[in-house]
Amino acid sequence: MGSIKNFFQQLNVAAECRKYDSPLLACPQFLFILMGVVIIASIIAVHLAASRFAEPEISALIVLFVAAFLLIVGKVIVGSFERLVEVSKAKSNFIAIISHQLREPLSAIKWQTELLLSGDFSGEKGKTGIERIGDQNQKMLNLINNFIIAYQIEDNTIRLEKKHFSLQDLTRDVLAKISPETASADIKINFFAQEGLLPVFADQKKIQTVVEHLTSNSVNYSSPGTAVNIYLKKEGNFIGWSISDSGSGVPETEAKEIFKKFFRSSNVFLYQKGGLGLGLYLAKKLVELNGGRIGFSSIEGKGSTFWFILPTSQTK
Amino acid sequence: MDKITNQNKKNIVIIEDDPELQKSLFAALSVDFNVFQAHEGEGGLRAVFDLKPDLIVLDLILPKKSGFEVLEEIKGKQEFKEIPVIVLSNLEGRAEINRVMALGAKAYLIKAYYDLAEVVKIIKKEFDK
Repeated sequence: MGSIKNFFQQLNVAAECRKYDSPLLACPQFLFILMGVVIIASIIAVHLAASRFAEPEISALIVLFVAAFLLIVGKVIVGSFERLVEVSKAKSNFIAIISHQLREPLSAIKWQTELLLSGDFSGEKGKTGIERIGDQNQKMLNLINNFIIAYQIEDNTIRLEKKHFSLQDLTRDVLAKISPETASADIKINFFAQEGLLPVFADQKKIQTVVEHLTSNSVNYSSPGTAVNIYLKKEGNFIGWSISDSGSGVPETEAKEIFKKFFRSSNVFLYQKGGLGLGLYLAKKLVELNGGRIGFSSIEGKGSTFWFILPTSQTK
Repeated sequence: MDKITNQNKKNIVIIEDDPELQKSLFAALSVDFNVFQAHEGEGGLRAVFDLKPDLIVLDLILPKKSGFEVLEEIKGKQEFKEIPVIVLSNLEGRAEINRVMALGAKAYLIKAYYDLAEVVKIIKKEFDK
């Protein structure tokens, strides 16, 4: 039923072409119709030619064969073309978002500099202004670093510097670093760590990116005045790290997509959320590259728990 | 929300989620205007309905309710639809700009292309009309 409906939907050429924002000659649905006309014309031509030289049955078979062949070829070409147009559309959406996200911190730096230059440089005001410029610069660097890591993962050129380190210390460092963010969001973070935990064996910088991302994600999705709990405990030869919030949770329909690159649930979401849609994708890839596993459980409207485990010793 | 208001000054509501951009805009605009700040769409809409300001500065990518929705709701209400809205965004797609202008915004300014001083000038000009 769905495919029949889909077929009739595709016949609405004008609407479909508008969807891709492309001129008529570059629109898959229009080309499909055009191809149909060419096929019908070819079949008539083949029929006329065949009926001159062959028996009617043979002629009919030739025509049928040619028709089927042309139809299949046509469908394959149009199908692949459609996929290309979809990718290109997704790419331009992506570029629009990227340029927005990269320009925000740069605009903040630009305006802050303008304010500093037009006013008093000295004293506390000037110091705060310069600190703000520094923060925005760091934000910009983080965005670009995440981008580069995603590219390296894709390209298989990522370099890991694994060593033993304490996940407990790393978590404390991250919490200290993001404390202004949690304070302004009015979120309390509780950190519970089992005693006597062994260090993990992984790339510390990369895991720091994971912890930072999962923590600020929980903070961002929590309502002011609520708490977020982080747990650290032994799980066999692994150390388990988890974070639970009582935020909005992950809708069931989105659960499968959440670790995908540049995942954004819908157009509404597109205009309501900052970030690149790279954080959870990177978290998953980085944990897996370090020999661990990552996952989450969530109830919509009640909250989510994101967790990962990392090995305590060199595996494989 | 900023409570200190000056009766002689015009009231402006800024709806902008980026705290740094918000602070810079506040610093530049509060010299000449009474500035009220909101950090997300729903709160921004509430501020507009409560205060009925003389002008609104609106970002587009906002938590809870996007700038498009905020603009649509303001323009959909008889009592508020005449308030001039200046959209300040770093989105530069033709579709976004067309959509905002069709909804009745006064101007679409791309943050990266404008100095703060220019933004202030454009807002002042809006009041001189």
